[in-house]
This record gives sequence, structure tokens and C-alpha cells, in this order.
Amino acid sequence: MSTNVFKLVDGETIELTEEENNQRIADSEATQAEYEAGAWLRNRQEAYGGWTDQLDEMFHDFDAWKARIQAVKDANPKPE
Amino acid sequence: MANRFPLIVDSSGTAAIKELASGDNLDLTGNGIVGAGTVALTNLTVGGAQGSDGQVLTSTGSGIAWEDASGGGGGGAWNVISSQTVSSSVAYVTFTGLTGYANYKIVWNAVHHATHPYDSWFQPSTDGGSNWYAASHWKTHTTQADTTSTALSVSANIRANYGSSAQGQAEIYGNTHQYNTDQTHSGQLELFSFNGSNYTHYIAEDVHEVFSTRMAFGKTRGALLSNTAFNAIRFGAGANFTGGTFTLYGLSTS
Repeated sequence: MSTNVFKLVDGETIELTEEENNQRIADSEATQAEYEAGAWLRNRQEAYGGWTDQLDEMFHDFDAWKARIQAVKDANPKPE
Repeated sequence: MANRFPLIVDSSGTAAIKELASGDNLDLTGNGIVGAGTVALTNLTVGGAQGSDGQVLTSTGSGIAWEDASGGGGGGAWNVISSQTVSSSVAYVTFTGLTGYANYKIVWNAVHHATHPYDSWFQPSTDGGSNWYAASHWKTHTTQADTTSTALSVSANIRANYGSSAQGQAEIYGNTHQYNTDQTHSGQLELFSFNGSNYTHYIAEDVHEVFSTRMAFGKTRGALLSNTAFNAIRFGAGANFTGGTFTLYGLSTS
């Protein structure tokens, strides 16, 4: 049964066997699931910003910084 | 100036001076040739040895000999082992036959994917690519940023491989940006003691074009304990490769 998925090995294009393709799909799905499971954390880290910027925020208005961080947490809840 | 055959004494019959017959050899045992201008050769043997494919002609200190590039040629340089260009959609790019060197480098240029891939990774093999390493012993650490960020982020602290804990794949980049279909990424992977000791270490760098005015870049370091030497490596991603060039180098030890 043709998989119509290929690999490049030392310059030669070779079609994956059904077993290889099934493994590829399983690996890909597992990786994607793990990636998506970590979305909440990546989104939080990106929204928090760098440490130096946050320290500056705290220095100027600690409560405002705390409220912003809480809003980021609320918008990106940790999965149960 | 015309090409001419040298004259020799032909003592096989009636002694006479004749041109050296085509196919005969000029025997200079105990003698040499000095002051030669351009020498045009169709082949060269040294001490009767032809050498083998990939060997280089190098000085032995007292003469010359054919030797492996890793042992005699290159003088500690990165030697090109092979190169592969992706010209159609493939799931993996694989190099086999990684023997003869302890340290390798793979450089990729203008790599393009079918869609936006959520990761890029590599995976070693101990049997020439028949089976791929599938334990969760890779430990990696990644820092990455893009040109719109104000600070470098640490996307992953010390942890097992990026994907499934049983995959044995080592992360190069966690989220390879390719939001536009014409965007590409380039980078390199250095492998230390890839088949030289129990520990293999690696450093990978990658730079992506995200949009015309935005770049993303990252660096990943990692290590793996393996008691069996590796001899093949493959690259994969969250989406098929559809373009780019991968070049494999080996570091000469002398």
C-alpha cells in the first residue's frame, strides 16, 4: 500500500513504508499534543514580558503590575 | 611545440633507437625527474597504491601517501562529507554512514516547509538508520527570541526531549516560524562525540524569517548518554520539508 510520504536519504528520495508512516503520524500527533498542552504556559510567559521590564513596573506601581499579571493568568488558565 | 614520444634503445632485436611504444612504461628506477613544467596526468599511484574514494594526497613528512581526509588532510578543518538538496516534499532528511569522525556539523540553508511547523528536531541511529533512537534521555535547554520582543526568553528549562517522552527526538527549535509560505529558516547543528564516547552533546542554532521585517532566532543545547555509538542522523519537523539544502561536515582531528 502506497503511503505517498517520502524521505530523503543520502540524496535518494524513498517512499516511507506503511510501518514508518504510522510511526511518523504517531510521533507527530504526540509532539503536537504536547505542544498544544503547553500553550497556556507559553502564552503566559510571552505576556509577562522580561524580568527587567517587570521590575521596572513593580518599582513604579506594584499594584498595577500585580493586577496585570493576574489578568494574564486569568486569560491563560492552567489546565486542571 | 608538438607532443613527442621519448627515444629509447630497443635491444629486443637489432639494436636501434626507437620511439617508446604506446602502452610501454618508462622505467626510471633509481632515477628522478627534475625541472618538469606542467605535468598532465590521467591517474596517479603512490608506491603502487591507488587510494580509495574520498582519500587525499598528503605529506607523510618524508614523502607522500593517500590518506583519509580525517587523518591526513584538512589540517583540523571541517571536511564536507555530503550534501542533500530538498527538491520535493519529504518527511525526513537522513544522513547515514557517519563514521570516521567524532564531531560533526550539519548546516541547513533556506529550508522551507509545506506548512507552519510547530517544531524542528533531529534523531540519531546506531544501525545506519534502520531503527531510530527511541529513549527519553535527551536533555535540552532552549533560549529563543524574535525581533519584536524586548527580552530573550527561555522557552524550556532542562527537560526531556520536546516531543513524546518516548520519541528520542532532540529539539532544535520549539516553534519554527513560517507564517508566510515564502519564509524559510537556516541554521546549524554541531554534534560532539557523536560516535566517540558515551556522551553526545549538541548545540543547535536556527534563524527564521517570520515576516519581511521580523526575524526569530534560537539556540538549543543538549546532551545524551548512550553506550552505543551512533552512525546515522535524520531531521524532521512538524511539517514536511519542501526546500532547502543540508550539508554534513566532519571535523578532522589533525
